[in-house]
Amino acid sequence: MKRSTLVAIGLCILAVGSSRAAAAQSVPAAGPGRLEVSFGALWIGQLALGSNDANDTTPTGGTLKIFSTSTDLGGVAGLEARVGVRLLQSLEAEAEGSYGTPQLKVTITGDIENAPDVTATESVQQFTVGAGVVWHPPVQAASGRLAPFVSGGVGQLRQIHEEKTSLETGLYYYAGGGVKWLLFARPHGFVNAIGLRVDARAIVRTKGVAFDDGGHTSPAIGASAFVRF
Amino acid sequence: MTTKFLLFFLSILLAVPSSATTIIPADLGELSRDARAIVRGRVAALDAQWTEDRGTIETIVTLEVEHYLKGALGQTLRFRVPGGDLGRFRSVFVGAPEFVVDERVVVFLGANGPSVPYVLGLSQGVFRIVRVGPDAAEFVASPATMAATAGAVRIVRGDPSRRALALDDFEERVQALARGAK
Amino acid sequence: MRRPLAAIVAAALVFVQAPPAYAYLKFGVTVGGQAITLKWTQTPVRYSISNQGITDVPLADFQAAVDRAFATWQAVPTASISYQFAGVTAAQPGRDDGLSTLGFQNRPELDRVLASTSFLIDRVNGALLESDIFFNTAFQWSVAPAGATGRFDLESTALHEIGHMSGLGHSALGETELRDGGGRRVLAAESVMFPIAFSAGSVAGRTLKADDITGITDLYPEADFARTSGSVSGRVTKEGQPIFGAHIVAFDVARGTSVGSFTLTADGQFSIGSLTPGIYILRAEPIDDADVDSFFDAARNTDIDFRVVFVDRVVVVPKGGDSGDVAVAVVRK
Repeated sequence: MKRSTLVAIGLCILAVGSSRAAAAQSVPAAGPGRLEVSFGALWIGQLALGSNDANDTTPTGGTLKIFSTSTDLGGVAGLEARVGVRLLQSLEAEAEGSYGTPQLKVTITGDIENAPDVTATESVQQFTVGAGVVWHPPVQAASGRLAPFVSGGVGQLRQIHEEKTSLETGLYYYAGGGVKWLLFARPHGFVNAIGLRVDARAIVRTKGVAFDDGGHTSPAIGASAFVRF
Repeated sequence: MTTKFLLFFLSILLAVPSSATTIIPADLGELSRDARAIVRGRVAALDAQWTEDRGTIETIVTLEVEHYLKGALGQTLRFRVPGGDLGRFRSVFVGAPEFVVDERVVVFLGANGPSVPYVLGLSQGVFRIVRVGPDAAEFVASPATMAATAGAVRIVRGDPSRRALALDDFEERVQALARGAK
Repeated sequence: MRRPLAAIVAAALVFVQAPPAYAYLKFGVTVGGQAITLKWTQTPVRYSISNQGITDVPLADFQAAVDRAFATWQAVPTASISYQFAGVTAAQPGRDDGLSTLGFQNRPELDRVLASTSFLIDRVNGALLESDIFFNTAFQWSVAPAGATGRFDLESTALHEIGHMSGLGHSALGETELRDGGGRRVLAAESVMFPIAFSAGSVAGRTLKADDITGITDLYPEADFARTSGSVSGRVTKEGQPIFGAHIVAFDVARGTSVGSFTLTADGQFSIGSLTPGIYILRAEPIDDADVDSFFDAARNTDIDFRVVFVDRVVVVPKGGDSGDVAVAVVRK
């Protein structure tokens, strides 16, 4: 086949595909409306902070273990709220915040003087405030009411210890994806759409309640209801 | 502010402790065998004086003897401990046992010839008698560390077997050790 | 009866400072019913080396080892204490002569005492006049860098005694065992201020631990340290009743370090200060393996009848503040 013919065929395919994509995106991917407000639940998985043994020094400079500890910030189910603004047909910017009360747990085992194993705990009040973007890829879902998306963002983390004597701050970064399910949509009127949003993400936290300044990752799953105006 | 001052005093309510040295610990058997005399008595008097070379201050403790577990040095005996108050000076030998008039103690004494005896191992050679419980039973205040009889044994704090000894049991044990028992 | 120690010159200064909390044990004095800390109020603390009683350690080596020990304490970055060598003297340690002297002495009546520290205090004006340290020539000593079999390490012992000289009491952070046939030895310790020496030949006692560093800092804090450190405080009870003399250990779970203190009041209260802010757990244990006189005034009734226990609450030490009252309940053996 001539090269020019191949080029022509390729251009036709591209044009057809673009037109199909354009047709699919003639309505914003997550439904009509420019402003989206959502509220729901967020589960963040456990974060292992580290382990340390209490050791005494022996006469030869070695160690004698007195007991062992392992510290985790427990998984938590909390609340999440979000306000998003549509920037383009498939791109949204959003501000989000969450609140939860994970348990800080120190598991103590193997005491040399036979003290019972114990898990020392305290409740931590955890707040996040951040911003990110949501991008709806040009994917035609089986049902026109489902809009998959990819999201990512950054924010500030604040954790208050139970006795309220100490505040820890840090940063978090998240990346993930999910799907929005339009339950109701209309292009005109005050409320343009109502739906549900489910997503999974990886959250990388730095500082805050931590043993070091490095990043620590935990999974998260969110489910919320949204309204678009 | 009240809390701050309370905390301020928390760690200072103790006087200089009677033993703040680097020691080689002695078990009860060693003390019992090495002592020239082991005696139970009541502290009758504490008298500070300059040492023979007038280099420092020492205290002569006068003990009214109740019972000798080993040796015999009279019904009233005197032994020396480093440190004391004399005139405008206080000399603190942080390692020397402290005594209170009228307290009852069991002391393990050594001596160099005819000189005034001294306490073996400083505070290691002093066992204070306390009365415990509604019947005021007598115990030695610090648990005696017995020699291991079958291999080395790690000392476990909080072990239920680690208890203050009843005075009678303590004295019986000491006398047996002084006779060479293990 | 040995009356309470006289005041020291810094009494007024100490009251004005009123630091929020204290680490483990420090020497205390009672003057006119007021309890104050025994510490040097003027630095550098000047010390002399005695050239008397030298046996198997040359004077120069003795001085070098002692100098290193002083330097180790002085190098603590969070503490402000300093020391200065004042020369060699023919005076022996322990003589009340106004000089703080370190040296060897033949003390056969102290046959189980490797070394000891003494203080001389003016009872009229409360001045701390001198502090001497003697090393017992009844034992064999070593200044070898790696230690010497059968000989006690001079630098390690000096480090411990200089801790006393600086105002620190003993620490109970250590484990011991009874020897077959008699005696007791240290299995391990996590404080230079543990009262029992490592066995002859060991040089492991030349390094300060967190407990030691916290203590010297608590006594002589650098200017900004109080603002950046924190404390843990609380109360120990047994069957609802307060107990005296319980050993409390605060373990920093992030750094893996331990600092110890005791319940030091009739109300069973404890306080551990000058701690690095962070997450801690607390362990309470009886000092039923110890010569209690090593730690407390002989008149105290130390309770040793309870089991070792951990507090089931995470304790957070905040920057410039206290953890809040931690309740520690122990159970009878």
